[in-house]
Amino acid sequence: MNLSPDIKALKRKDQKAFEAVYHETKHAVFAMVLPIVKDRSLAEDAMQETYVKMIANINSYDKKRPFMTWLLSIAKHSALDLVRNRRDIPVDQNERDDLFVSKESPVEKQMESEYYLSLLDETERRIVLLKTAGGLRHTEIAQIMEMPQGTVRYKYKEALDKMRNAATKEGHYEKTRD
Amino acid sequence: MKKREIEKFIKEDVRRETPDILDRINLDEIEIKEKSRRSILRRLLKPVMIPAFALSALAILLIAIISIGEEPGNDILPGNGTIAYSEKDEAYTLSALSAISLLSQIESNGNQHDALLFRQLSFSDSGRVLLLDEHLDQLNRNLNMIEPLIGDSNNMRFSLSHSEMPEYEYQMVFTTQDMRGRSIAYTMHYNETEEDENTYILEGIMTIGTVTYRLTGELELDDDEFELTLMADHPQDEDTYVEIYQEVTNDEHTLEYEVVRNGDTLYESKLSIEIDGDEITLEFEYETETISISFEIERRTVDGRFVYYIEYDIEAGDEDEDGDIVVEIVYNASEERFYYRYSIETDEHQVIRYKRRVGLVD
Repeated sequence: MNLSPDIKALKRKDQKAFEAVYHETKHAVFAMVLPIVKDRSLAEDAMQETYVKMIANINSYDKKRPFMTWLLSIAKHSALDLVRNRRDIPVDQNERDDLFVSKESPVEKQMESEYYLSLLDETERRIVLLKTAGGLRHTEIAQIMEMPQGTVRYKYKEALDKMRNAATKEGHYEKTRD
Repeated sequence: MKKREIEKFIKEDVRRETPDILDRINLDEIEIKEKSRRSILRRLLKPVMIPAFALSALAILLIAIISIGEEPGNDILPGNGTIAYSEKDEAYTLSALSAISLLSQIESNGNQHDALLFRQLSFSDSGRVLLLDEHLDQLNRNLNMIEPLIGDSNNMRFSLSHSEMPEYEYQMVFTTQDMRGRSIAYTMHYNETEEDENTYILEGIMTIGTVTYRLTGELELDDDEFELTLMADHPQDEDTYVEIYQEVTNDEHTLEYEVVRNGDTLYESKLSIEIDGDEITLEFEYETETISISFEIERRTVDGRFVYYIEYDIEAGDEDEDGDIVVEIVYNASEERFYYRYSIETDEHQVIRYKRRVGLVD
């Protein structure tokens, strides 16, 4: 979807344009902030903060950059700021994995995919979420994650192999999808 | 269980769980900041970036053609009998070539367009049937589409003048060299109508060999970004055509095309293109009810020659397959023809080679 006209219209706070941008990007923003804040309620706060900052700084958006990359950069920093500002949540993203640590059957989880995502390390999980739910390409993820494109591609493939192997061995997928 | 299924259910799960926070945002309460100093500085630096954009525009079509060392705009100075042109005129020409390249690929053997045909696959060393086999057409089609445009940039020239045809105002001659070093000129005659400050309507023709293609298009310019829709068909056959849509923003290009024969969509594809120096990255994927396939293509220059490095992933029913492909351009001296040579390494580590013809005109 071409968002250029809507992005332009954001400068005059056009509600319809904002809604178009929001609906086109909300999944990617959620996929970006969720692995950082690891809490649905905080993820909502981070999303709200992201879109408010996006509108407030729309004049600084350099249209030579991909809009999604710019927006997700805001999302990442909003989520990290939120985590830092909450005393009860450790800044170190590796210390808590509330949303994904369970090794239980996904039947018992709110999101089936949590089990498989829990098999991944933090970086792999973020890459997988951005690629699948966010719909981003490897090159875009590489920019956001600040790592080489080849590394992103490799880690994504490794992550999928891990999940596929687990699913094949344990038969979780078949059980839960039937 | 297939990787595509894992991707799908993660996507579905996360999308289903994405909260809706739209109501929590009141635009009236947000104060939009003025442009930051940094952005202003970037704008001041903009002239430095002009060469990159000029080439990006040129590269509109995946054009690997980077005029390193040349002053930007040298080519666009009007010469003897020529008039000045801009990136949009280049865009028309290159898009037309791509559209015609696609159109020529669906023309049948033995008809008047024979000179334009891409020959059928010829395989070698093929000891095993891969899922990829039947999709090499699509990959090859996209590589062929860009091939006319990825020659030696030092030998590419655009020249705009007043058309020799009374019904058209402009005549753009695009001269390049094929891989044998032969000079090839493509001429497009066209009229351009300015709809408004940023929108231009194009109507024209391009003749290749004995075949004349009709071209219609619309280009929307916005500073250094543009969107171009261009359709190529035969005047006598309006039900068979190719439509190309391109969106270009600095180093980000997307290209979508649809090939229609006798009123039915034969195939369509969407590619994203990135250019970093002389390296080009293309990505495209497509899905039907029974298959999903994705390609990530990187073109590098190795020992002065272009080589494509491709990762692919196919899922079809209960089968899936992924692998790497290296595509080199090779010359068969006895046939005096160039081919693509596909070296395919699948997830089972088998290497198979294929050959395919390249080039818009043999």
